[in-house]
Parts: sequence; structure tokens; C-alpha cells
Amino acid sequence: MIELEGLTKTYADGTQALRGVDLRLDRGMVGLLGPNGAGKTTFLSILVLALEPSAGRRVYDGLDAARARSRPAIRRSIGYLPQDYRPLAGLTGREYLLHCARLRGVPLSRRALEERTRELLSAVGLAEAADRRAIEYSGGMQRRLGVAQAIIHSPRLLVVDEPTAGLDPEERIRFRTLIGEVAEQTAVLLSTHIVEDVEATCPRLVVIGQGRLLYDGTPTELLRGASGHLFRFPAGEPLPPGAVEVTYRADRDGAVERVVWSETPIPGAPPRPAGLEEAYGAFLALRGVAAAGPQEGAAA
Amino acid sequence: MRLLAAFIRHELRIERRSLRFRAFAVGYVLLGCVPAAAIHLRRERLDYVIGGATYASATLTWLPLLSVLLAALLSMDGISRERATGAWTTATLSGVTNVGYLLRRFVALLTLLLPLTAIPLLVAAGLAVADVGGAGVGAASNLAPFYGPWLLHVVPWTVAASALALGLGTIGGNAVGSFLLAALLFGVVPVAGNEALNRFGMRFDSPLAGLDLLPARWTVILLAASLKAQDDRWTWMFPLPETEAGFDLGSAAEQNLAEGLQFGASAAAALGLAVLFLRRTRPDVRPQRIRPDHPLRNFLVAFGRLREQYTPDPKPAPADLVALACALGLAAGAVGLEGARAVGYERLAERRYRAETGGKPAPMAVAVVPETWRIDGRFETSGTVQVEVRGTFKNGGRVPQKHLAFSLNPDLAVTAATADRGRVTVGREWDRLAIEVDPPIPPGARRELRLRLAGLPRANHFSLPQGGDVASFARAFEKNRNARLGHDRADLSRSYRVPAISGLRVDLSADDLTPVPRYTTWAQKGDGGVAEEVYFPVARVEIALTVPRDLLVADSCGGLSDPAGRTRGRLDSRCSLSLSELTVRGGRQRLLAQSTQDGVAVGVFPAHRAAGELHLGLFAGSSKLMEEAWPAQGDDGGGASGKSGLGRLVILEWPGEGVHDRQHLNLISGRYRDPYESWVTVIGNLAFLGETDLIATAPLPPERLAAEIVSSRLARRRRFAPDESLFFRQLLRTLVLERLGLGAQTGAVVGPLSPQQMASVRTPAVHPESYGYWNSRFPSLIAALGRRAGAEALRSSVEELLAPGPDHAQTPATFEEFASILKRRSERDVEPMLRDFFLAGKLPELVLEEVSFEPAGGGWRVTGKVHNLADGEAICRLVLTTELGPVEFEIRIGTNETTPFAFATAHRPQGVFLDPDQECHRMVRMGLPRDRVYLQGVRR
Repeated sequence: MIELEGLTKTYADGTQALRGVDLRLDRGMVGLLGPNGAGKTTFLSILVLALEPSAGRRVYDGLDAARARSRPAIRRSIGYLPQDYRPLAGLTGREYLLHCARLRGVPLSRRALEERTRELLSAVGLAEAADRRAIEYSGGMQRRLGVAQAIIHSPRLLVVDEPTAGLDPEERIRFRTLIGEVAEQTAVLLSTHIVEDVEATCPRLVVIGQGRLLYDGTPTELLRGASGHLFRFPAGEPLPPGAVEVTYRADRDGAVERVVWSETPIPGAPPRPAGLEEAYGAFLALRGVAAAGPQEGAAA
Repeated sequence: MRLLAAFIRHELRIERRSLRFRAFAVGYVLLGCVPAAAIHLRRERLDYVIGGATYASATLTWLPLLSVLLAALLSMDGISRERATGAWTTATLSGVTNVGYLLRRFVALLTLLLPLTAIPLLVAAGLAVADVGGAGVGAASNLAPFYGPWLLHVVPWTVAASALALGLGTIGGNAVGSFLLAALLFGVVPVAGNEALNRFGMRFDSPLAGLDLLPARWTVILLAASLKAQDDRWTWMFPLPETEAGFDLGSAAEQNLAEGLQFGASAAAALGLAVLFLRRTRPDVRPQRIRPDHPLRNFLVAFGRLREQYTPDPKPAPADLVALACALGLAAGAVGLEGARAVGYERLAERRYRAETGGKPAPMAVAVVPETWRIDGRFETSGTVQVEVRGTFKNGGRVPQKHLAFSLNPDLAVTAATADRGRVTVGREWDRLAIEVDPPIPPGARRELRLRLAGLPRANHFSLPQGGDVASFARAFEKNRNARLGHDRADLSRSYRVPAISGLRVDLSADDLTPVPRYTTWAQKGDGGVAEEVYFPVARVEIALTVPRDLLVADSCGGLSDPAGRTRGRLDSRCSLSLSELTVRGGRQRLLAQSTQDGVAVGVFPAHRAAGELHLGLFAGSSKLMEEAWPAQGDDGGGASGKSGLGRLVILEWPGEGVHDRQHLNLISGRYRDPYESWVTVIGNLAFLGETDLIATAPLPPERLAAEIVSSRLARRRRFAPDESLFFRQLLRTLVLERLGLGAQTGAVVGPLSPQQMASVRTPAVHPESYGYWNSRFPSLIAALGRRAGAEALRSSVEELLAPGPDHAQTPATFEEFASILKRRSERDVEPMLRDFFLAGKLPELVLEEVSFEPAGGGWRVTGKVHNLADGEAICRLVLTTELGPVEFEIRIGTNETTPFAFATAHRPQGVFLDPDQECHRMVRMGLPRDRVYLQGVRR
């Protein structure tokens, strides 16, 4: 059980990134969504002890991060795949994983450790590239290796930041399966822009915006909130009173889809079935926060 | 341990695959091996046989510097590698504490670095071993010269440099930050620190001062010069042969300790502080809200980032704090130790200064001389000496004497003092011992003294700058004490002590074993320094010492303790000797199995056994030459002269002075012996043969050994006046060398001369300043005297002076007595020479002026002047050469005088020559003699 209470963070230049976030994490997958600049990376950094909060409390399975003595044990219990992850230069994928395992004190014999490394490499689809230098891997392969290093020591908390960025659909599915297995024993916090990943894997969703925790619930609840309130609305026309724009997408042929949220039906505007992405967009739009869709693909 | 092993494996793997590391490592090894490879390739063109120590020493001249650079580069690279590649966050997300992480990285780096630093030395050792066959010596069989200095000079510096780079790299966070921190640490901190310390009269040298660049620079220069040399023989400059005497690691470590303390302290502090700057968790700093329109907004934002970057990591683990405390404690301890050394040596120096400037106590009256002297006791390889000295003094004067004065090593304490009659009061001041006996010793009576001495005799080397106008310890200390600015002060913590005894060497001078009578006042001389003793009465000396069993030890009476023979562990000898000549020396030398026909014992270092055997003929040759050098006229008092050959002589191979000093490895100048220095020194029945000469491939000339032995023994026939004894000893040596054909070729000396060469009879001692006088001008002066007085007259005058006369036992020989004998026996007037050159130290410089050749009647008239530009009366031949032969006469020119001359000849003249054979004592200015004029004009 990870308990986070009143986490706030103000940077040296006065930028307030977090404004009192409370969250409890237990076994299972939690999706973390939030627009750019919402404070997601700050939140994750604080969660993995890479950043000290200005205020707030972090307790990991009873270990308070405020106590210096607890920190080594907390670090040992965390697996982390940062957004800008790079493997160590000079090592092959296999050597790198072995080194990470030893560094994190995996209590296995040499042989067992090698076996586990092999299994993990196979699970992330890197078995054939295991003896190639990790730094020469493609971006997607490096992400997969990053996932492997984050779980090699069976952490109690796994934090993954944009894990599927750069992965092809097949790899994304494989990743979801793997993470799903891990989440049976571990608290997994998945930060992503790809709402589809959250939809497919996370029974719980957390939304952060403007440094605050805006939503903590199931994706279904979020969907339910938007259901019956989304409409297709012609581009270029002024929005009726009380309506807010949720998405505005143009495809390659120049066809535009504009989705708006309205408490009441809009005459002439056909209702649109709510997906999680639109529900999330509507949720943010109603709170005056701009969503970061996958087409933006940038860091929060 | 498993984690440490993982770190080590990781480091080795990463570096092995790193092109940068491989480039560094290969460059390091190649550069490190250059000196050894150069020696190996050109060894057969050397004039001497070298051993492992030379290979090691040449390699070590720049290996410490190279190692420090390598350690700094690799460690900096090691700590910044993960950050630079973006792998830092995941690489440090583990359960290890900051200190655990840093120390494991440190150990992993050292695991890589230290073996690397050993490679150049291993290569040098391998090459030395390979050379053994060709060289004929077993020098390389001893690897001590390799691992000793490696442990002392390479390992500590490498470890410290690695720790420092790791620390600064961590704190700095990037190369620029680390460089700025290093500049701060080694530039600003020492200056500011010394300004503060100056208030307490202290100063520390730069932490980098111990990393002496001079040897490295010199090695490059000498190596380059040697390679450029066109001679068939390789120039002597490189390699400089290194002693095979070995050194005591403990003593050497103490000597070098201060050099590394500050650097070590900096490294410990940097590594300790680094645990707070590992940046696994970015700290939270107080926000500084900056208005968007603030004119300094960009600067303040950047400053905020710096604040965040250089604020210590939050919540350090207890282990980190403990490590930090330990590191800072270690650093403070190192600085404290340096301070304690500085204070300790300053106190010692103060004691010496007070003694030297106080001029007390009064010396002993020359009428009181030791008759018998027995030294019983023991010394051990730990350096301790425990002896009981029993000496009998006779008062040969006409008044009672109660005051006795001696020199005694300040580290030797007098634990008990008694006399066979009456009371004894002891006073000590630095190296001076005053003993008052009550009642006084009546005229003609004797008094026996018994003294117990114990201590650890050492030579103190104070790191005070000397040279230039600071010619003595007292002046240097005074200058240091009165310095107003910090940079004028010396870092006394760099002082050190060299123990007289170690497991490898015994170097006991007389005053390391016994009080040595002092007859000359301890006053400061004009040029600084304390006047040396010049009176050396001879006593019957007995030595009975228990000595280390595994060392070859000999004394100046000819006693010998041979670890391989019956005399192992004991030194028992007796002889007649001046107490100041008493010395006990030895070390790892081993006796050569073969002996000369006179049974002389020759001890050489094991590595030089073959070279020693090669030169055994030298000793036989010397024995034969001794008769030729000075035909025996009777007993010489020493038990041996020409007739008795080498007798009980013990000859020890001995390295140059100072090879056991700290500078030995650090200063090139300390590593070789001046090629013009006398290569053999005889003290009583103990002779020291220069190590460098023993390994020369050219045969050793036996003349100098014979000359030193004969003059040493002649000097024992009669005691000399205290102020003039050195003159007589040099006179005897010079005359013997002259008889053996090694005297000065001419009576003239080539100038200009240094002021020290203007000395006279009372030049007090052989020391570097008067070296030129005794070895250059003095032989010329004796040659000129011999030509003027006649060689036989000069020799017979010396014989008469030394002969046992009715009152010779009572009265010391003086220059005045010698001069009167010589004047009586001389064929010509020698009075002006003795007066001007020996007593007044004058030196004329003659030139021809206004020389004209004019036809007169049927012949020629040649006129001119001889001008004495300097002082001293010269009596020289003036020669006019003509077509049919020379015309000459003797001309006498006083100080600054001009004497005209005129020749008339019927034949065509060729030239006028002043003293053409350079028989008279005068200065001939180098390149501009002006003592010959040819008819066609002046030729230089």
C-alpha cells in the first residue's frame, strides 16, 4: 500500500507543479492521465524518490519516505521506467539486465538470475537481441528493455512513464499483457497519453491537471459521466451556450470531426457515442483544462 | 560483497569496451614504458652497468604524474558516464546508500586502475631481468626498487586522485562544475588558507606541490638530449644510474608523508561530501518568485537552477552521514597531522637555531685530548642505539681544565654520566654536550668519563629554502621566522628525518655513537653556518658493538661484522683514530669471496657482485702503487703505509650522499654523483667506493684509491694545528696524487674564479662552496710551489714535518713550521709564494702590454711591459723566441705593478711569451690569456 498525502511541489523559480495531491495505490493497474504541464512527471518523480516534494507525505508499505533510514528500502521496492529512459552504454541487453538485478539486490543465484533474465528478455521480445549492445537497440526495443529492467527485481510499486511510446501495435499488446501480469502482485502506475492503453488495462484511472488530482475512479465512471452529452458539431460554427468543445480532429482527406459536450441535446447535432478518450477530453474541457491528445504526443 | 563484485565486473566490462578507456590505457602504458624501453634499447652504449633500480627509477620519474592524470580522467568519466547517457535515474534506483554506491564505484575504479599503473613497472622489471645476462649483474633479481616506489609514489597518488575526481565529479555534476571546483580547491583554498595560517607563522605548500613535475620534465629533456647525441657512447645524462642500496619503506613513507597529506585530505573531503551530492533525489529549495518583467529574470532563473543543483541531497541516510563524518574527520586529521608536523619541526628547528646562534657552550681546550676511548653497546635495525662510552682524557696543558665539550646527535640522550673521580655535570643544547668535571683535571693528569647513551639517531632535514644569500640553516630559519607575507614562509611540515640505521643500511657517524670532542668554537661563520671542527687528536679507540646479524657492518678501525662469516652480529676492533673519524657503516652489502693479496675485505651490493669482482684488480694495483706514492720512511701511526699495503682495510660500496633523502626520487640532481667528485673516501681503515664508479665499464684507476689511503695514513703521523689540519690533509692528498701522475698539469689556474676559490690555508672544510678550491686551484698552487721549490725539497719538507721529533708529540704541526722547513730546503725563494698565495689567498693575473718589435742596428729590439692586473707577487719566466732559439729571464711583478722589459737580439724575433710552460701560479683568463705576443701581432 502506497499512501500519498498532500503532495505539493514548487520549483526554485516559483513554478507550482503540484498543489496537494492525495492518492493511495494498492495492487493493480492505475492509469495516470493529464494534459501537458499538469504535473504528471513531477508527480512520478516524487513517487520514485527522484524529486523531493515541497510538502506532503509518502508512505510505502508503512515506510515513510521522510525518514532517511527508510529510503534505501523504498528505492529497492520501486521499479521505474522514465519517459527519457536510456540503457547503460557498453552493455548488451542481457548484461544490462543482470547488472540491474544485482544492483537492486535480487536474491537469486547466478543461474536463477540468468534464467529470469532470459525469461524477461523473451517476454519483452528481446530474446534474439539479448547479446547485442543495448545502446544500439531501436527506440522501441530500448523501451521494452526499460520495462524489463523496471520489473526484474519484482518491485512492489512499478511506475511506467509513457511505456508504449514508439511501440508498434503488436508490441503494445504484448506490453499490456506483461504489465497486466505484473499488476497481479504489484501496484502499477501507468502514465500515458494513449488513453486506449489505459482503457485496455487499467481498472482505475487517475487524472491530474494543473497540479491537482482531478479524478480518481474507474474509467467506466468517467465514461458514464460523458455518456449522452457528446455531439458531433459542424466545424466553423459558434458553439451554443453551455457547450464546450471536446475534440477537433481533421483527417488526411480534410474531413473534420468536431465533438462537443452539452448538458442538453443540441438541435441539429447528432449524438456521438462516448469513448474513454472523449470522456476524458470532456472531463478536462469542463474544468477548463486543455487535453493532450495522442496526436500531440508530447510530454506532460 | 556480491554487490561490490557486481560493481567491479560492471566497471571492467564497460571500460574494456570503451574506446576512450582503451585509448587512455594504451597511451598511459606506452608513455609509462618509454624510459625503460629507451634504456633497454641503448643499454650497450652506456658507460656503466645498470640494474633494476635504474629501470625502476627512470620509469618512476613520470609514472606518478601519468597515473594521477589517468586516475582523474577515468574516475571523472566513470561518475559522469550514466548521467551523460541518461541512465542515471534507473542506474541508481537501488537499495544502496549514497556512500555505498560511491565507495563501490571507487573500489571498482581502483580495481581497474591499480593493476594498470603496475604495467609500466612490470615491463621495466621484465626488461631489467632480460638484461641481467648481458649486463653481468643480478640487479633485477631484486624487485624492491619496483614495488617499493610503486607503493609509495604511485598507489597513494592514484588512489587519492581517483577519490578526488570521483568526489569533484559527483559534486560538480558536470565537467565544467568539476573543473571550477578543482580550481577552487587547489587555487583559492590554499591561498586563503595560507593567509590565515600566516598569522600563526605557518604556511603549507600547495596540495599539488608533492606531485613534482620536475623529474618528469627532466626525464623528457634528458631522454631527448640523449637520443639526439651523435656520440657512439650514449651520453651520461640518461639514464642516471640509480643506487642498488635499497631503502627502508617505513622511513621513505615518513619522508614522503607530508607531500601527500593535503592532497589526500582534499580527496577524502571531496569523496565524503560527494555522498550529499549524488543527486538521486533532486532537493526542494525555497522558491524565489520572479516577476515576469524582472530585469534580471534570466539570471535569477539560472541562479535558481544552480541553487537546486548544488543544494545537498535531501534526507541523507545515517550511513551517508557517518561516512561524511569519517571522511571529514580523515581530512581534518590529515591537515592536523600536517600542522602537527609543521609545529613539531619548527620546534626542532627552533632548538637548533637557538643553539647555533647562541654559540654556546665554549669549546674544549686543545690541551685536553682523549687518550683511550671504548664504546660498548648495541644497535638494532629499529634504529635504536644503546652504548656505554668510557673515555680517558689527559690534560697536557699548564692549567687545570674542568670544561669538556662535545658534539653529539641531538636524538641521542645521555642517560648517565660519571667520572672515575669527582662529580660530573652535563649540559645539552641541540647537538652540543658540555660536561663540567669537578674537581678540574690538573695539568698532566688524566680523568676517565663514563657515559651511557640511548636514542634513535637521525638526520634532520628541515625544509627551509637555502641557497643564494641564505647560506646557512640559521639564516634560512631567521628569514622564515621573520617573514611577513605568507608566501615567504617555508612549509616546515615537509621536513623529514633520515634514521641512521634501518633494516637496509647503517650510517652511523661518530656523533651518532659517541660524544666527539669539540675544540673549535661553535660560532657562526661570516657566510653563515657553524664553523666546522678542525682539530682531530688521535686516541686509542676500542669498539665492541652488537649489530644486526643480517647486515654487513664495518667500522673505521677496520672491524667487520660479516653476516656470512664468523664475525656475524659483532663488531670488535681497536685502532688509533681521531674520534671524529669514527664511523660505523654497512647495509645489504656482501663480501666478495675473492680477496686481494693484502686480504682487503670488499663489500658490494648483491646486485653488483660481478662488477665488484671485475674491479678486484683495482685493489691489488692500489697496494702496489702505495709504495710508489710515498715511499715508507717509518711508522705511519696507522699500522699501514706503502710497506704494509692495504692492510686491514675494509672497502664498502657506498651510494652518493642523500640517496636516502626524500628528494632522492624527486630530484634528478640527487640521483647521480658529480663525475668530478672524488670516487673514493678513506676514513681510517674504512674506505668507501662510489657505487657509480664500481659499475663503470671502464677499469677503475688505482691511483686515487692509493692516494686517499696514503694521505689518510700520513695524516695520522702527527697532529696538526686545529685551524690548519684541513690544509695539511689536502696538501698530503695533492702531493700523493701528483707523485702518481694525477696532479695539476700547470701552476696556473684558468679563470675567472668564483669567490670560494680565493680561499687560503684556513679554508675550513671541504664543502660544496670550497670544492673548487681544493680540487682545482689548490693542486695548481702545489704544482707551482713544487716547480719553484723543487719537487724533492717539497716532499722532504713534508717528511721532516711529519717525522717524530722530540717535541712533535706535544706540539701540533703548523703552516708556519712547514713554511720555515720549506724555505730552508728550497732551491729558490719561496717566501712570496707562501705569503701571498697560501696565507693571503692572492692570485695574480699577468698580461703583456705595449709589446713592440723594432729593428735596431743590424738586429732587433723588443720592448714591452708585464702588468699584474690583480694582487700577489708573481715570479715568472719571460721568453723571447727567435729564429735561432729562445732568450729568457725571470721577471718579478708585485700587486698591480707594471714592469717594463727589453730584449736585444741579432736574430729575427718570433714572439714574446710570459711563463710559456705555465709554471708560476697565476690566473689565466679563459679564452683571453694575453700572455703571448707574436711579431705579426697578437694571437689569442
